[in-house]
Amino acid sequence: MIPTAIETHQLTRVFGNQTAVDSVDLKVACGTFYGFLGQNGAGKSTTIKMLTGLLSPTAGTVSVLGCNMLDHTQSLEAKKQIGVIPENLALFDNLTAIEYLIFIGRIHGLERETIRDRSDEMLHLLSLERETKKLVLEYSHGMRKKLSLAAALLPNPKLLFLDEPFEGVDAVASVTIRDLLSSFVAKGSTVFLTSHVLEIVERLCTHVGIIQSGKLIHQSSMDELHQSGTLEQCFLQATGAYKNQVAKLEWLEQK
Amino acid sequence: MSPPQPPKTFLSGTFTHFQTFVWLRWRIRINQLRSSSGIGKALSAILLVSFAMSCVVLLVAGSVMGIVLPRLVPREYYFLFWDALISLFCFIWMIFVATDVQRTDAITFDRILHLPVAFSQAFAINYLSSLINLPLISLCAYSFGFILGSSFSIGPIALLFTVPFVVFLIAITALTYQLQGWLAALMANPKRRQLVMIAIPLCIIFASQLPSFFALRFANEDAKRNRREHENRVAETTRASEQPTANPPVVATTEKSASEKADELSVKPDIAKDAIDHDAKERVDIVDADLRSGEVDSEQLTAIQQAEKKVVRERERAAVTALWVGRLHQANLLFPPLWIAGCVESILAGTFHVLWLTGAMALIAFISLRRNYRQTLRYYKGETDSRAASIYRLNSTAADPRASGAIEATAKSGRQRLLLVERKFPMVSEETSAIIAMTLKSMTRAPEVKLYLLLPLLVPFILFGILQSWKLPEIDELKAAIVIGFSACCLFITSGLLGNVFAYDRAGFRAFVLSPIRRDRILLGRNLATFPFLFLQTLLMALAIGLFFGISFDKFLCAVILSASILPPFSLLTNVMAILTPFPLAAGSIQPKQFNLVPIFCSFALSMLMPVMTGIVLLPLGLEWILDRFFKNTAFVPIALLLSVPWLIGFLFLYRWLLPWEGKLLASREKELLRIVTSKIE
Ligand SMILES: Nc1ncnc2c1ncn2[C@@H]1O[C@H](COP(=O)(O)OP(=O)(O)OP(=O)(O)O)[C@@H](O)[C@H]1O
Ligand SMILES: [Mg+2]
Repeated sequence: MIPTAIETHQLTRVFGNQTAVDSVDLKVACGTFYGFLGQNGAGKSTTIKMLTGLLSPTAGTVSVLGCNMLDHTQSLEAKKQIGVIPENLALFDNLTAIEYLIFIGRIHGLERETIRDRSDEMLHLLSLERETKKLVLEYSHGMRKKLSLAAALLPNPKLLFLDEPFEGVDAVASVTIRDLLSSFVAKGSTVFLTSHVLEIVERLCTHVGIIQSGKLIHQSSMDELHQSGTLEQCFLQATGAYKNQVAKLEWLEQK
Repeated sequence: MSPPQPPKTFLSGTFTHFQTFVWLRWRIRINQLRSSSGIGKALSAILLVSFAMSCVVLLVAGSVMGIVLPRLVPREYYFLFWDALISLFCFIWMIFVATDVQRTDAITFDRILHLPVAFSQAFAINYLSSLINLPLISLCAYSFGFILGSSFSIGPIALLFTVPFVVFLIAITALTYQLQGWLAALMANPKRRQLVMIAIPLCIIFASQLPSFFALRFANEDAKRNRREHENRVAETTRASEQPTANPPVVATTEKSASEKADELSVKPDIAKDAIDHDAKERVDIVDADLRSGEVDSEQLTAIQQAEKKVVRERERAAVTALWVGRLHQANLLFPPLWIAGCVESILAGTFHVLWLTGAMALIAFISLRRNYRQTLRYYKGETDSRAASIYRLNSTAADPRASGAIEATAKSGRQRLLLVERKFPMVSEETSAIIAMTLKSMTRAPEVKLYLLLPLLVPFILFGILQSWKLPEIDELKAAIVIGFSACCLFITSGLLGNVFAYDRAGFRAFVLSPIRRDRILLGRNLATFPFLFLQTLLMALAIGLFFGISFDKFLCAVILSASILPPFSLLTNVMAILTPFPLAAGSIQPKQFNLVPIFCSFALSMLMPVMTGIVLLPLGLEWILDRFFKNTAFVPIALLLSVPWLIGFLFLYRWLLPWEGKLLASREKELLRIVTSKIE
């Protein structure tokens, strides 16, 4: 039994003279739907990259599903059980959707028939089934996001890392994805997601972490958070922005 | 209310915007420099300085050439220099355009059209910035130097060359710009893009073969005409010899020498002949007279005959030169790229050709720019031309919801059919099969990769002309070695692609990093996927060269096996290059687009190991050659062939042995690699 899905200790990443992620101690239990929030440039994507083995940390430790991600052999074990939508996706321009999914499925050791069935179902669900002849090159932004999600779900992972999965996705697909993810967590899997849409996070997530300038400034369950107000209030308060401070540009009002 | 801005004229507006865009490009360069490492900075500074210096050097060299050349060669050959310069430039230009075919717009319209820039201004800016490139600047530096130098040696009239030269530059760049626009429009459709990418190398082959093709044709014609005339002459001589002569033996001699001469002449052009005939007849007459009068003995006669032959040969050479110069004269008037040389000629000769030639070039430039402008305008307004519209229609029927029934049906039938990406390959694991299949599929779709794989096939074609004039000693080992050498050359060219193979996947490489498979399997899969292409190259090369020179079967086989045995160490080498010295590429381009030169230099240095590998592969052939030479009785044993098999097996074992190590190297470098290949470029 794995006690925690994700655990980091003093996780730090420095770019040049800027500390993008600063001594973050994350702890995400299995079966949680974790929302990771923060302003632009706060360090969300950098954290996800380090958690999924796309970026090496400057300092600190990362353990995912009990595997040390800094050790190559162990990280391969973890990678077998996780699905990821990275910040800039991981698609091959010159493949079609179905070819890409088959590739991902085979890499994860799935049977041919299983891959076919699952990808047909998923492409249908995400209304991509008409686009199977197109190369990824010709896909729109939202279509790419959806294909990425399909690839992340295909091996039926224990843990999902989603970097802004709803960004650029149409409203219909958005609802579908939300339902998918809810049922995914309900059967015991874990989702780690970043998003700027607070309503979605509020509706879906069971736990929230807020990062500000690389530092984890808030980490609690949604229930605890709701005792002191809505997610938006909490977020604005934690990040030090206030609702009553109305932005003003004098010259914009001149006409 | 802010006051309305004073209306700017088109030119001043364009100029301010152009300044802004020059500044923009400059800033981008500087910022790239700032982010690169210390050595990278130093290297690029060196490169920049050396480029500036080489421009100065070119300018000076051009001037010196301009001063010296007209004094060394006769005035009527002066234009030949221009022919040579422009031909060389056109060839380089062709390759330059081909390698950058997909990156047409230096600053794309998409990025500026939402700004308050008039379309015509954007067009002008784009065209002007397309002028800033290495081949063109080098040509300008050298040519202006040459014109300047010529003005000292020939006189100020040489300064007039500038006018047609500038017009020529505008014309060729306008045509290129139009061609690129046209290709970009074509390639908006991926299926056509394939075709275009294949057509481009073929066009280069064809264009580079054109001059030698013409030369061959002319030479053939000359030979034919000569033969005909030679026959006529022989007939005449026989008729003449039938008439009674005072001194029959001498006639026989002269007749023989005449026919010898005719033989020599048979491959030479016609102008020479009249002169030579006339001259030879005169001499023969003199010698005849001398012989008859007993003033010359037979020894002196041979001496005279030899001297005579020498004079004849010299005259022939001069006549051939005159003939070709005459042909070039015509070509300079008829063949547009050479018009600039025609203009130079005409200015020097004081004829009026220069006027219409320059006018025609200006007209081409004007029409091309105008057409291009209209096309681009239409394209961006969304009014595509009828052909593009039909492409669009084709595509849209595919995506048409009403056609979805048909698509579902094909999807159903496709269910049973095994796709290439699902194929399992023998003797490798499932994951490796997946990598091979995926790589094959995506590689054969990426036009720049395909171009790279086709590029080596140009080598034998471009060298075809040279091969024709080669006379090899009848040593089979040497021929086999040539096959291997050419294969190695091809591999060397391909190492530019395979030595940076992860950069072509860009974001796709992230999928590899995220994948839970052993890293040496990734490498193995990628190597095996390229294997068929590389082996096909080798085989074609061996066949072409083997057919050309005629090679014994065992040596042919040996050459193929030995060439194949370069592949494992070659793969090992390119893997190391791809892991250690990657550099980012812009989509659809095979030119590195970043100023960080360290990896480019390093990968070049690594690729220098290629000749060493080739040398090792050549050892069995060398051994057989030596044994054959010193121990005659071994000649019947195909030693090289027998050795080539263990050679191949040995290299395969080396590959197996080193690959896991390379896998570990990839595992430890993959994050850094990912950062580099996905770093954004401009
Ligand atoms: N490769 C890199 N090189 C240098 N700095 C980087 C790099 N990647 C990220 N950063 C910096 O790290 C900080 C955090 O970036 P990150 O992408 O994690 O932000 P984010 O929270 O995902 O923002 P957003 O909500 O806009 O996606 C930013 O200040 C960014 O400039
Ligand atoms: Mg982000």
